Amino acid sequence: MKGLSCRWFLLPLAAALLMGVPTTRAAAQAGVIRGIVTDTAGRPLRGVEVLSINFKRSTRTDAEGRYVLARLPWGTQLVMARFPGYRAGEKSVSMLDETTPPVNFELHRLVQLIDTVRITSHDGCAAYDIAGFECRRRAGIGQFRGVEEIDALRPLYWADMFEGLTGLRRKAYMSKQGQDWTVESTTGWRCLMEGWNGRHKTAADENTMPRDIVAIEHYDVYEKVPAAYKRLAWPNGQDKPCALIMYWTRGFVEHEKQR
Amino acid sequence: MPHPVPFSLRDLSKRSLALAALAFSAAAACVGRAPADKFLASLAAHCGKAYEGRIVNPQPADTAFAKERLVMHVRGCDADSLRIPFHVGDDRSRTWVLTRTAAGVRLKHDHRHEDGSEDRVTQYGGDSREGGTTTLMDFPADSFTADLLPTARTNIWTVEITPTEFVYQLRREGSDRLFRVVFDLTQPVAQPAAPWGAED
Repeated sequence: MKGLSCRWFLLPLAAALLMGVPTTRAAAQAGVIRGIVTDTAGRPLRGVEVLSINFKRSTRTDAEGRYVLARLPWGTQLVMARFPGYRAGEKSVSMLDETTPPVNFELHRLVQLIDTVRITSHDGCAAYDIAGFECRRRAGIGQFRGVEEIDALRPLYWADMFEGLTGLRRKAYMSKQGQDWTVESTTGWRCLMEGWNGRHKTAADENTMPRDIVAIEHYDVYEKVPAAYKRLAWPNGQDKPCALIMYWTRGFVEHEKQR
Repeated sequence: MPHPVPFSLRDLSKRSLALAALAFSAAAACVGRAPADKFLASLAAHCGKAYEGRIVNPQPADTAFAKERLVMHVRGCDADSLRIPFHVGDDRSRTWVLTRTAAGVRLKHDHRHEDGSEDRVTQYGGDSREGGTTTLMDFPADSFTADLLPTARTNIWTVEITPTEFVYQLRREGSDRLFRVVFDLTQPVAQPAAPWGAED
């Protein structure tokens, strides 16, 4: 019986080896995608994150805009190139053998409408309305990211939304569930608090994913936090004041519009 | 002289088929019912006990969860349902409610204000997806949740129980954001006060 079961197992395996079935090759080798990322004027972009969405592998472009995504399984890959200030590009690539042609991206810069009039304080801005976000952004105290920039980044992980914001960096993290990302302050937060739509987090906010966020405000030190939000950054009973991140959610903004 | 046989081969074959069909349907019924029952029974075994947890890889959106003490308390163990308050520091607004349904298990989130009144956003959740096991159940958002929180319509909650851990996880299709809290079931802690809106 033992001999019979072995024969049934070994025969197809030997046949497969002799015939060189694709699965054998796929297991032995791995695919590579190469390409160049430029802006619309053809200038190479350095530091662009290029990632395989379905296989969670990423790399960055060098000074010539070149990238190499290696050790990818054969088959269809969804590849994304994203860079703060540019609209993300996405391409589906069929990797059938080593002759996969270069996959190049041309990223379109987002048009930033910056008001040249700067105000010196943000405390006059509406605290509980998305209109206040633009007002504080113009005041220029803190770091800001609006809906167009967040959407352009196509955030999958929470940390993706913070990519490229001054004073913050993403950091890879390996958990039991695979690779994840977290966000760090380059100068070090003494402590960090969060606000949602100008207030404390609510039950609805607990179900929020990156694509539900339409705007982010970051104040790296308590002194920069707008007066209306200081109680969020230094709540009663807490021993020290903190940095603050304020999130504005799509659901809240749409609800406000309807009102 | 041949021995008389109590029934013919034809009868035997019919009986065998009938028995096999009975055994198969019983087995199928067991497969359909047992995971949900065993899943809830595993949780009910912790009734009255409380455990401390931690959030896995907290993000800048989880500062309260990362900073505060997280305690789950298995209580309200009825024949077909369990209530598990999830306390975040002094915030006792959250309770997970797991209920046996005809097809599996239902997970709901009961959110209360400090005065016991219901939050505007409450009772969202879903029914367990087919393929759940005795240790892990996925709960895709139901239509009530989709109406209440349109952005959460593709949420999937996962509850996992092993001899050593209880896991509550939220993820969403199309996103890699993972909200995951793991509780250590090997170290019971002091029972917390009742959740808001419940009697001690």
